[in-house]
Amino acid sequence: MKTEIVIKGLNKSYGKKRALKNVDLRIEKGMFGLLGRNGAGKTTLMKVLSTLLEKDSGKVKVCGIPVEHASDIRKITGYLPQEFSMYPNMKVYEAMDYLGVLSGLTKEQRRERIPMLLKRVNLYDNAGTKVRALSGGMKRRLGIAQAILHDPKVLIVDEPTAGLDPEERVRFRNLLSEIAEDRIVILSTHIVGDVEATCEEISVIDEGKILFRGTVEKLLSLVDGRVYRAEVSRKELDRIRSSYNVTSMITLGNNVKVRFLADTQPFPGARHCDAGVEDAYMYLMQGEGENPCF
Amino acid sequence: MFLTLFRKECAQTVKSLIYWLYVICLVVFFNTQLGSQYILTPPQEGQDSYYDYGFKTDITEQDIMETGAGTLVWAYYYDNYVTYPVGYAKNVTLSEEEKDEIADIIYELTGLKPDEIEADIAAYFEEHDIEASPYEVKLRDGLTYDEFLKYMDRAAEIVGPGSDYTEEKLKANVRIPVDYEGAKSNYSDLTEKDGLTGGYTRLFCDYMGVILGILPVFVTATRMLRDKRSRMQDLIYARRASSCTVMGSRYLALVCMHMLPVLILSFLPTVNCIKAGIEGVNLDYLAWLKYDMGWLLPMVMAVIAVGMLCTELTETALAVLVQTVWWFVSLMTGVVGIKGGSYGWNLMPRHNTELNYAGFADGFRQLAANRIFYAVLSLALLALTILIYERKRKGHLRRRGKISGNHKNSVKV
Repeated sequence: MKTEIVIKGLNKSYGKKRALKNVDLRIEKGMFGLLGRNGAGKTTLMKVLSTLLEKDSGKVKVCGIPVEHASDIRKITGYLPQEFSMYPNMKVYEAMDYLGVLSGLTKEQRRERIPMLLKRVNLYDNAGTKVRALSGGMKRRLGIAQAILHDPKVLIVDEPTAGLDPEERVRFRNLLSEIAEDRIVILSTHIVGDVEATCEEISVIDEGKILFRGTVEKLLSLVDGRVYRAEVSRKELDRIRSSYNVTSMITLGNNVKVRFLADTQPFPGARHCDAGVEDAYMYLMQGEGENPCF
Repeated sequence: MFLTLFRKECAQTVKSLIYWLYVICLVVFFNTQLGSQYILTPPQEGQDSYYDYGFKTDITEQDIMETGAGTLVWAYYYDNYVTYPVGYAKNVTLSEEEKDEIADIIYELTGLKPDEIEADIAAYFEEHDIEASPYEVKLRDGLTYDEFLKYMDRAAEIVGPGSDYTEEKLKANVRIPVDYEGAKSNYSDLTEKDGLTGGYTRLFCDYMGVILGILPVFVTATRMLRDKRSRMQDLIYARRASSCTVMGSRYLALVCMHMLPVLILSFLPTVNCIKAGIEGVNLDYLAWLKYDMGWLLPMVMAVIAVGMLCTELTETALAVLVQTVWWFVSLMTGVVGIKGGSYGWNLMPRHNTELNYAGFADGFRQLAANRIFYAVLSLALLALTILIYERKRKGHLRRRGKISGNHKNSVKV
């Protein structure tokens, strides 16, 4: 059974609203980033893959198993939902044990895996702590531990770093990278930095359509030679904003350091700079998916 | 997996505050209703009264008329008219004209004028025990049953809906204590056919049924809503366990945890019977188990099944409202057959006496059909809950959260 996810012509609508439009994707072992703004269709796609939503049409196979075979898919997938929580009055070990039973693990398997996973996510010393007493970062780590409790081939993680402080975010990303060594990890996020730091392969989704899929390098190549920076007065800023896609700004007294996208040299004083994933993402968003890049 | 989940669900229930409130309610109710239970001893010839040994079942029209007229005279004398329009007592105040009309009815029924009533009541209770025997009045010579009912219909109109003067209520209110022979016969049924403990356990079921018809829905709704409140739904949905296992183990755990304190409490009447040490009685030591399983279990199963279904379907506490309505209707309709024998299809069959074995035996087939019906209904509702749960696991029927938000808000997907 090959560790891959194949999606062909996937469609999903909520009433008249089309959440996914003919999505085609192939996801292989390793970290895969799904990038898109809020409301782009990321959660819908994650839920279809986790069997928590039924598709309208198209084909989805997870490790060769059609997604319609929900009980088989659930054996090989782990899911960390966007709004992760557990019974607050349960202790960490107890909550893991409960979910372990629901995953079909035997008593021996639970005894072996739960302490091992708690150590891995650095929560071993909190095994007796009630879930309600955990910090946001600890809860996310617990979320990862519960999602890989049954050693799934596919781990689906929906917006996991929202609300985490920078240190926790880095720790969490590293944890995901470690886990991705021997399985597929799909990281859905609207935070470009998360994808940039961890994913080899990414897709950008907007309004239910895949705008890009490929490696980070390929994404960066879209804006190679198109990223400029300049220091301009505040008066000039409005003109630049109306003419170019501004990807970042830093105010310095009466001046503003601005980074923007342009196809040719925009004006004297503007200098080329290295493209980042955020620039490429903004470039794609500017195109609003009219010309998908595969 | 099922048994492990069942154990975990039991542990979760034990740790919830609402469950312990349920247990406290059961214990308090038991103590107030049955805490100081008096075990009947054999009747003695020449006792002052045989009130404790039951009431005559062969009621005549004369009995109905004397008791009914007595009730009306008593109410008139004390100017205390009570009705039960929706089950609870309501005091009714009559106008002077209405009181005069009641006085006229009393005169037609008994020949008593208002100023003669006090003397008649006093004379009656010189001969009868006020605790053991309700006031009965001597009727006017030649009064027929049809005439009596006609006058009483008018009295019922004056006093209002839910009065004691309709024909049905007049019949139900006749409670004439048995004589010595009747007492001996009833006691013999209790000790020989019911093994003494059977009668007291049945009484236990009657009382406890009144609160078991409503309380389990609170614990059930709380447990079901906990997944939503704790945002555990997606975590559980995405797991390998089948919907049947998740819901089935939860249902079984709720039923068992609700029955556990009931089983313990139900043994106490048996203990009382043993402690009474009445000679020559062959006690039925397992009556508590038989009655708990046969009488109370189907009721608890039904209430929990309704609680699970409504909560899973609506993700609100609607189940509490639904069950409260069902409980109230059941309670009110059960009043008519409160002394047992006519169990019908009531969720909470009534048998508010340790006696009346004959009524129990007569109504047993109906009672058994009733209990089997509720047990089967419960399993059908559970099956429906599992189907709903399975649909929700695939993203259907979900009412809140980001997914259903998509239906309302086309921007956020």
